Amino acid sequence: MSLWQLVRKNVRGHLHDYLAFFLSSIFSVTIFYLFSAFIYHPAVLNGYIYGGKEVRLALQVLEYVIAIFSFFFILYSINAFLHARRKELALFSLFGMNKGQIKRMILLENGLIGFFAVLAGIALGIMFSKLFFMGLSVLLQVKNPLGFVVPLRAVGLTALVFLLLFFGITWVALLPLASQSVIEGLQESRKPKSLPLFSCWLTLVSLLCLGGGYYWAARVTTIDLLVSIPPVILLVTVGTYFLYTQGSIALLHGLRRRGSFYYRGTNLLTVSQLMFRLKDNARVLFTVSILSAVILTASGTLFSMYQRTTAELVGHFPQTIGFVQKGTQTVVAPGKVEDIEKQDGISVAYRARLVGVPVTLPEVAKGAFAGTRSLEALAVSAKDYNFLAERVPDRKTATPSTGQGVLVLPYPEMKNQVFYPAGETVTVRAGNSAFSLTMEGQRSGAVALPVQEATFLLVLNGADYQKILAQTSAADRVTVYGYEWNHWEKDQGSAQKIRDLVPPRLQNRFLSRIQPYLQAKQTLALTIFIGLFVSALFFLAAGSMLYFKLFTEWQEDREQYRALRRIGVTLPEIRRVMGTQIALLYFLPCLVGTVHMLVAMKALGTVLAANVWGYAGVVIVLFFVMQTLYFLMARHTYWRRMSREAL
Amino acid sequence: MTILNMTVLKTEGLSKTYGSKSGFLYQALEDIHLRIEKGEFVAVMGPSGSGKTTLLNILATLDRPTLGRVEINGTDPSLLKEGEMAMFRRREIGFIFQDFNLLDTLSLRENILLPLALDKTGVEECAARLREWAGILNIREILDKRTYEVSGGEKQRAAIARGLIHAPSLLFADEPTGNLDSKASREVMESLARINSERETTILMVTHDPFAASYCKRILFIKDGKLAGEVRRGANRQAFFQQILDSVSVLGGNRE
Repeated sequence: MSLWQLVRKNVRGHLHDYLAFFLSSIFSVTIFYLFSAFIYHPAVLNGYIYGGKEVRLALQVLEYVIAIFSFFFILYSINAFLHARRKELALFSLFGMNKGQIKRMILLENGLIGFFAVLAGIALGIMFSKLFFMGLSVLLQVKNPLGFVVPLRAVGLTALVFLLLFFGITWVALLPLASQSVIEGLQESRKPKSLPLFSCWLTLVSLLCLGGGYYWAARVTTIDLLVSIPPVILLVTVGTYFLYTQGSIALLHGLRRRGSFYYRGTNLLTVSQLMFRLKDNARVLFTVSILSAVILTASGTLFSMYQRTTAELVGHFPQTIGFVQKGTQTVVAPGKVEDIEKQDGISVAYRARLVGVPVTLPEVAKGAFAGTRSLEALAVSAKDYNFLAERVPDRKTATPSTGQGVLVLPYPEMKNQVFYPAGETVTVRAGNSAFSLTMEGQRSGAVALPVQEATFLLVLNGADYQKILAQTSAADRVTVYGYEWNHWEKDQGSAQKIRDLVPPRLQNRFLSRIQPYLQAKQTLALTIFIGLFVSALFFLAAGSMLYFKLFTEWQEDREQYRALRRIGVTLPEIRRVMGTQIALLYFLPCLVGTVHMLVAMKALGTVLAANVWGYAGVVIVLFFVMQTLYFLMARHTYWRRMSREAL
Repeated sequence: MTILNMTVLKTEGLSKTYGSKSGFLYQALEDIHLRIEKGEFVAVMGPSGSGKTTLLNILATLDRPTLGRVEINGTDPSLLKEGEMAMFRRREIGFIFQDFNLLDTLSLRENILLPLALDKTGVEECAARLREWAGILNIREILDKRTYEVSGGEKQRAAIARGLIHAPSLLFADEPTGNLDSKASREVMESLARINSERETTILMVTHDPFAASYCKRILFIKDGKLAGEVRRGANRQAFFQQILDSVSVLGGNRE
């Protein structure tokens, strides 16, 4: 039998163990190729795609991420395989193969797997590249979708990167083999494992790190966000590591001491086996937990940002389109707006028309705006203001009495900024006259387009308003128009038609919320689309690490279950012991990852001043559903193989 | 004193045939009739490939016969469903093996208590029985050690405790001295003989070691899947040992 035949037989014989690793590798290669194919797409290179440059940059960064991640993934996998096969390799040298031949054999084996993974990955990549291009074209709103091409540079880069990874890592992983003697290898699998122990100190360190990290994250504010992130991540990472290597063992020792629980049914088997399994798998579980936390937090953040865009835009742009006219100038004639609405069959929710007088308020004494010399605001009547406040979501009405005023701040986020304390009397100047006003309080969030003279509003009692309106000439008055449409997300065309009527020098007085909405939506959708691939890659890799960890310990497990079966342990009992262990392997890191994510989302919620829990919930449920599928698959495969070979 | 004979194990016309896909048939056991009474200590001896392990596996419900029937305490295990069979095995049968089959992940104490834990026996009951058996087998001092910290003889004695702690009606021993040196073999066999005589525990042992077999009260010889005679022990174990050696050499094939 030639070396080559031996290699092929080995690969075929170990197919089961290699499968998850092989599939995950194919997936990495595919994603890497898809990204490369976009980066080296001629249309993108030539700059024909609007926004292509930014996407290209993002994909390039992600390619580095994938390559680094794949490096660790392949390194870990190959080491685990070599370890599991040490006895087999020792047998080969017992039969007279020398170290060089064994190394060549392993190098060829891994090379063969790597070669096929690259081949299959690139083939799949080419197959799906058209779909990927189409997705990106839709998201980038390119009129002519990117055509199907197979950029040779993309193929070359992908093949080069992954073949280098496979061969390079195998070569490095084989180095310790040189110093190993035959007998060590033969006895490798029979080396008894001592009972896993834990250190109270390190368990305490784990709890303190996690607690400290969580506490810090929960109290983070917008201002110290950036300085807080690195130490929080460090604390949580260290805490998680010791949680698995120490905390989990401490917990199981605790269970072991509780006789009435421990010596009852299969608990004895489950707990004692878990102790060994968790210790052996601590590093994988740690890695998977951190990966889960990263995936969950990133997805949760993206998802909540996406969902928040709409709410935020409605907060900043009370009506779909709006414009502010001063005196006799015409930004757009309201009649023409209504004509277009009618022509396009737009369903109008309401129209806003706010006539006001520009006034000047005195210096702001306190708060973040302290030192503002004077504040320009638009005085409007309570009746006009309340008409709109009842229609714009989340606004409060105002009813000042004679001699009182209510200041309206432009954005809902400003609700904690006090400009003038309630009860303070201020001198308000309108044109050449001045009068004094007692501030009744303030509202946050505009009810009509907050730009130019209408950024801040001063709501006055009807009588007071009539008085200053009468003192002001028509040329000094300001009118704010607003048009709220029921299905505004779809009416970009009509908004554009209206915008086209605005003379160029008055463009800054006209705004529509549709344009920024579509832009934000596009950016986020792109990020999510690309992020999805990377998340899926991490997710699959994490699952596959657990999967083949399960199968590399196959030999020991088989002996154990065989022995159990002989002393009369029933199949359902064995199944329960196995199932509990596999379930813990798959769900424990998920659970830890989820807790990390929830804390991160709490911090995000504080920073974005928004409720993010609903979105976090959706992401978590999705993640658990996928993990459950993976778990069921792993358990099924494991159980089938076990019942066929051992029971 | 009249001994009221109670049959613990009975087989009638037991046969086992292994077939291969190519149509080649191999008769591992042929028409085995045997009867073991309560309190007996029986060894089944035979050369390698004689079918003794197949016989033990069938008797111990790990395998099913092709023809014939087995009865343990009046129950035919082959009529039981998979789940009932495991419960039957767990309650009625104790097991010791050549390679001990102790779990590495458990301490000796936990290994011994495993059958009771699986049956959800109360903690105090467990402790009492453990004390009793650990005393009988002289392993009290090493209960908290792990399997790799103790000698083979100690492992086998712990395995005996595990095999008997749930008070089975029958203990099967599959080459219990096969992995032990002579001193440990003697200790294990003396323990088994003492347990048999003091507690009337019924023991069926498969072995090809004449020394181990000399501790039994009756020896069945098996050759080529058929029963080939039987010897009973008199007063003197030395004489019995010689008798065994003679029978083995007559049967031939004791190549091991």
